[in-house]
Amino acid sequence: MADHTEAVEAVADLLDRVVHRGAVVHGDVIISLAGIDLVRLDLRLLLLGLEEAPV
Amino acid sequence: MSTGDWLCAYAITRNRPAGLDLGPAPRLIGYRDLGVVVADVAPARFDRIDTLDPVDSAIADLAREHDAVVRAVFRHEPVLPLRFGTVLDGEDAALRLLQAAYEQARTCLDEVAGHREWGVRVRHAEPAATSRPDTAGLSGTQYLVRRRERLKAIQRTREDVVQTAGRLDGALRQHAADTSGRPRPHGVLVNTAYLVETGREAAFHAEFERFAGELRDAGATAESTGPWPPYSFTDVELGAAVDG
Repeated sequence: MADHTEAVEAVADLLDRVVHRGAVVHGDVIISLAGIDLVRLDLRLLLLGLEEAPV
Repeated sequence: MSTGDWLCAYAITRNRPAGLDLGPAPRLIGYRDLGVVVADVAPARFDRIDTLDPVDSAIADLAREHDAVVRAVFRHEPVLPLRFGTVLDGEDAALRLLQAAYEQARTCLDEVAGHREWGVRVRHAEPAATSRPDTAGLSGTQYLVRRRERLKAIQRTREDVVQTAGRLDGALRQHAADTSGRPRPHGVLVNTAYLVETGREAAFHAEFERFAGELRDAGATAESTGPWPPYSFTDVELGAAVDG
């Protein structure tokens, strides 16, 4: 159980940094990916849910 | 729609391709003394990204791939990571981005150069299974007294832990150039990213270890993760004006 929680947290740490942090680029140089904002939202909910789940 | 000349952009760094070992796919597009690390990407790659179940490891795999490229740069050069899913419309677009964001990106790179990110998390430990009081043979009043004492003790422990966690954070800040708060769900007292100059890492970790022991004794756990590229300290918006 502890191993599983640690594995989940390791993924959560990575996703939060890679998907939610880092510099954002705006303007016409960017291809807007349909759905990427939904992915970010889903992940945000998931990460919070995971971390809040009783162990 | 684009014809498919898409570039997945990972990071902005110095324009010093000789020192980079990026592996086969990613390459550096340079402008003056800055460069953006990109790789060709098939549009189909992101086609159905919104249908991916977030629990699915596909997202985690994509994120790991992104992280691997950022880290390959980070091993040799200061890095300004770009957010996952940054796709540029070809090489011209990459150059225009560097032109438009030049000053901003350069300032940010200078700030994080020579630093690494470390994460620290402190949480209350699970209540020990042995803490259930033995109530056999107690009268009602005795039971209530015992119960109140136990709750008080738990409360005191929690207060000790909160105080120690606060001191830990304060001590670590002394060794950090910057800090960034991260989501702090219930039961987590500290979840913070610290940007630490490499020369101060030994002192930072010594401080962490000292408090980690103290926290363990007080009934909490402290973990550190890292080193990370400075993901949590590159919260900038780089604009390439639409009208040029």
